[in-house]
Amino acid sequence: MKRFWRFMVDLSSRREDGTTLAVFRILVAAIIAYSLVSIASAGLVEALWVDRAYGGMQRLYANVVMAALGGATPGTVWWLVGVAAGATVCLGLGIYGRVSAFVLLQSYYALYISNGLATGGYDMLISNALWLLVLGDSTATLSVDCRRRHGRWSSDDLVAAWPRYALIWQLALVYGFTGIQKLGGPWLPGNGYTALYYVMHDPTWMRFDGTFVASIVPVAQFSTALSWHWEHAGFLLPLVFWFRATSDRRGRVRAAFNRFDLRKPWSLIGITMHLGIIFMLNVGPFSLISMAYYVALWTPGEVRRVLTRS
Amino acid sequence: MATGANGDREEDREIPPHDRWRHARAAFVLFHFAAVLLLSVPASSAMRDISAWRAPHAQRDLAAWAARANALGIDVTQPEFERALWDFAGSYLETRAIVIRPFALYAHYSGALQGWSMFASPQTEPVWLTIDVTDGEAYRTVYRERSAEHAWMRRELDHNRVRKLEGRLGRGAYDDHYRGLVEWLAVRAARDFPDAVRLRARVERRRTPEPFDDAETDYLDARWERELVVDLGALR
Repeated sequence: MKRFWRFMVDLSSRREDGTTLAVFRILVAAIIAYSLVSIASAGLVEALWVDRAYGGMQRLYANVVMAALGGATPGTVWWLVGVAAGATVCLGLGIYGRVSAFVLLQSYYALYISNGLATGGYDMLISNALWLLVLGDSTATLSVDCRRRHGRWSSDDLVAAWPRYALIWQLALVYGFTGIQKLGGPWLPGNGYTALYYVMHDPTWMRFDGTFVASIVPVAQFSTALSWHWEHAGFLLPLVFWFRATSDRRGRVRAAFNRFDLRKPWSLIGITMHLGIIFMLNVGPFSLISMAYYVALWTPGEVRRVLTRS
Repeated sequence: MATGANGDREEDREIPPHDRWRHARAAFVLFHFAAVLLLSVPASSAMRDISAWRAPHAQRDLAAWAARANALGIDVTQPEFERALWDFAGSYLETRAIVIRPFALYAHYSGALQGWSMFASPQTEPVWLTIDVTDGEAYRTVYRERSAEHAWMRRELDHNRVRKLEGRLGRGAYDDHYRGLVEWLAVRAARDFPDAVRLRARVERRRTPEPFDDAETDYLDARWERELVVDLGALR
């Protein structure tokens, strides 16, 4: 127990430069901007987020922020959308990072939580990301805050590393638990891995007429099998990082895990799968926010090298 | 300061034993990690929603699991299997609710919500929302899901956040939400179709053909469900 506690204190005390968290911040802001613009440009702000009593589509839930502002009336909702838009710009540019993230979290959360039928996993991933951007210092570099402090756009100021670990933890659990809940027959090997065949026939998600999938069933089966097993492998992500961090210790399993950089094939499969989803299905910003979390798999040094190269 | 293998600088990791701030931070980080883990453990209101259990795709899954149990030598009928699973779901949800109570409040106020059931049970008999209007004689279709021909309100209804509701119409009740959608559409129809006197909403359920069925590559067994009619005159 003492050893575990020492590990936790050590883990939560680590510091690293803020490049990974800063890139994650910029991606999250861009994705929220897309989410808000897509709703506004479809003329759905009032339909989705204003209560039926004031002209909206559904009876809505008002969380503490929405209730304090007077409920889901058109005035309140547009005000929240405006605040969220402003905070998104500030977060993206890196102006008062924690404050921007907090304001954006509260406004965006109050909006999406109000209508449980018009939200999805992507909104939860976004609010989880924002909460970790409140807790972490994401404007140490690549930000207006950095420019104001140091007179340049980047710095090697150290920030707490644990928010990046929490992003990895979140990513592992999202995929792992998504995988184990896929118990519907078509996902299972015994039923021929046909889930994506059915998903692509469902008008809820399809971008194109789904009947063409009948001519590429083996492709749909391969994609189903790959994504199902790959999602389960999400549970192994923390182990991959643990073995990498303790590579000086012995053990066959550790050695096997460390033989290759398993982050690379795992990310490659994930990105390929998400690009396929973006092309084939309309699931909102789910793939975009999921892939944004992948940045956390790479250390600030690795992200910096990629940024320098490009 | 030390420099890590990846070029990352790391501070010296010695921990003063009585550094309260570091211990408090560690406690919070542990709490956060535990909250995310425990709240991610699957639970859905659908686990005790009888209409969700009665949905065709759910019944098909239950029959398949009962058959698998039989194949393993467990003598159980589908109703018995369903009953046992229903009871287990009830006690599982009760236990989970007790365990997560301290963490749920944290997630509720911080936005760190969890729950990752995505495409868990694909629809094998999806539905197409269809909207018709009439000037008093025959109905004409003005909107049908994914149709380029019947595309009234398509910009709004094709948005992924509205599609979620349309998809749920094939998975059970949601009667009040369906009525909310239809009444909202009726207000717009009253404006966009000045001659129309009634709007009719309904969903067409069709069965997806079995994979590798060369004889049938198009949807099968079409039938209409959930018809709602709204008088547009009252909305003008």
